[in-house]
Amino acid sequence: MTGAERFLAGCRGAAVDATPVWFMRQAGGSLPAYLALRKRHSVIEIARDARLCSEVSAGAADALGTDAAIMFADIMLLAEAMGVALELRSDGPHLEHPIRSLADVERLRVVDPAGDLGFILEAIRATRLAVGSSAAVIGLAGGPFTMAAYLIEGGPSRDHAVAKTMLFAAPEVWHALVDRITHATVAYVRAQVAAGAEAIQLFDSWAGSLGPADYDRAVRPWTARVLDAIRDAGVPSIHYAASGAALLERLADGADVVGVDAGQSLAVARARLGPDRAVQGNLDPARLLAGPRAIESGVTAVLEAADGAPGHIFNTGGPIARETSPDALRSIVAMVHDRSAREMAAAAGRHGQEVPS
Amino acid sequence: MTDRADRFLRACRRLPVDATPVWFMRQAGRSLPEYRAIRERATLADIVGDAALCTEVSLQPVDRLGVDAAIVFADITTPLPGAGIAVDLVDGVGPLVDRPIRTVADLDRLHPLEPAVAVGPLLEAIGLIRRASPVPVIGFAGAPFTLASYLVEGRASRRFERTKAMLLGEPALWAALLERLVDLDVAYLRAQVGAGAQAIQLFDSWVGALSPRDYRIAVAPHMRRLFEGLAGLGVPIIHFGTGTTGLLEEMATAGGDVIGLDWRVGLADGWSRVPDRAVQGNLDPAVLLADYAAAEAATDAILDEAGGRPGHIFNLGHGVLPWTDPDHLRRLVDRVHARTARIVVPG
Repeated sequence: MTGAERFLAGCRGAAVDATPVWFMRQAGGSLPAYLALRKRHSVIEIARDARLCSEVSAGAADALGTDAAIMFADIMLLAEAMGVALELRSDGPHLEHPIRSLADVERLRVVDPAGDLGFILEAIRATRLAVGSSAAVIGLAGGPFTMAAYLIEGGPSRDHAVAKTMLFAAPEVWHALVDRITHATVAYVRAQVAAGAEAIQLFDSWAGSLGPADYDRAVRPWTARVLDAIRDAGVPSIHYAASGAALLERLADGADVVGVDAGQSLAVARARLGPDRAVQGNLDPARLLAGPRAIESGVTAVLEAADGAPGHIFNTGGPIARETSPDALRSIVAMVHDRSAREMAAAAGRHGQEVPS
Repeated sequence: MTDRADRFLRACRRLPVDATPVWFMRQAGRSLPEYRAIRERATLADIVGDAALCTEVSLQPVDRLGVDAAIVFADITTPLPGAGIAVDLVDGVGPLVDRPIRTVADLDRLHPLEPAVAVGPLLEAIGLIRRASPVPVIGFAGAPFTLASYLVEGRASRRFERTKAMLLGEPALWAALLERLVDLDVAYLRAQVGAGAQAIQLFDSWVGALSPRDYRIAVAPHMRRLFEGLAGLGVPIIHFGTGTTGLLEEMATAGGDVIGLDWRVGLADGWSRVPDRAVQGNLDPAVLLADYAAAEAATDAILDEAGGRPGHIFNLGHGVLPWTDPDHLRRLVDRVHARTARIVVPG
């Protein structure tokens, strides 16, 4: 199987020749080619230049040997396209004017992806050409809670208290805001798929800071619209939230793949979701900084928890740290591919099945 | 009849109560104007170092909010200076550890704790609160993982990368550090109970950052030794953390009469994972920043999930946020009591 085939079969829960693998935030980080590029360009310059962006996105998949190439694109580029002035700093986005009122919401622009975000769409096309079938190209967007939380807080937050206050105290403003965000996100993911994205990961990274009842009320209906749009566009969706254990079944609703964070057992997550739902995860990214033995035992534990069943995409349970060594990532890709291929061949031998080649 | 004086301790033991007990983590603190008035002339360290002041601050919420338990006012890093680790408590930043612990050599700076010497005023305050309070007094400590995270990172952290690097990459050093912290916690908590604390809460606030497997291997054995060290004290122990939905079974296995639930997990769902324990929680503290009606609706939903089963202590899922309106807290206490009031035959 090619990398793209392996990844897409994994998303569908179909048979694979080895467990597909990629890493959240694999594009960029400590890859030498990226570090060289960063000497001449800022992060935002790279993201806004289709050629540089595709070099970084495709280059990471190529250098690491992953089965998917995720686009080098911050989720807040969409907010910029909605007319929000922001600065991307190392700790996250900072807004000049956080959104706090209905008037603020009404000032947000309707996004025309081809015009406002053409650079990403062009980068997706270029990345597809560059990686060929060796890796699937994953487009991405922020989930409704995470986007709204950044827009309301105006910067990174630990407890999202300002955003939650709006959600609880001014639901009409909250609803208007997530509605605008959802409208823009639907257009954005459709355009990414039209440009060649073969899957979309919806990063609702901070949605795990809501209790289940609040998630149902304030987020889930809007997320459903985005996931439906991805399905209608004909590609698999991956739905990810950090600290998502309590929301697992809700995250699975309407998604093809559930991103499982490192704070839960992958075996428990699979048992809760049933055999028909693909899962992605869930090596603790902190392990990647703790030396080869910690990496190896972590990879072993994740593969054991996945138990060789179809529908597992190996990934970290959260974005990798920027200082993660590319060699560590390459060693994980090799370990995951080699071990899972051996296991699958052995299991197929026992069951007299053909392993896809 | 059971009443305000004993409903908290009875609920810890899953006995029937006249009304569901309520208290709030960080109920003494910035949300109260009388506390802010004291802070204009005294630092956190001043308060913890002065038995009378600490008693006053600890009792403020008992009077104003009508809660069913007092918790002694302190920080989880309070015992560290007495164990040889200088800590600076900075408003808005949290504790800063002067020289973080990163190597075997650093470990030698962490000495055994002599509570009577190291935290004398705090212990005295517990006795004073016990005498003055109409409700039981809770002592507390940071659990070893959470204390270690401050010692290793040097400050509050989001991803705990240095802590995890030690836990995963240098297991012998990690185990040695946690052993010392277990000893510290045992000495500290035994002294608090000796001084009058009628229940204990272990704050493993950040342990939810770990996977269940890493918890089982690198934290649970130390927690079991800690619970063994506290056995026989005769007081209930509340075992609390945040982001712990994936860890609840492991935490309960390690120990605790009451398992603290944060707001991320539905109360009924969380309780079903630890069915043989009492549970404490679990209102999202951020709900209280909105209008009172939103907080009341969310509180009612939690009480419905508890369904009147014995062994529910109402609390937030984490500490009271500093800009919370104390009138909302007061009204919530009354709401919980009124909505759960029942006649109980002593048992």
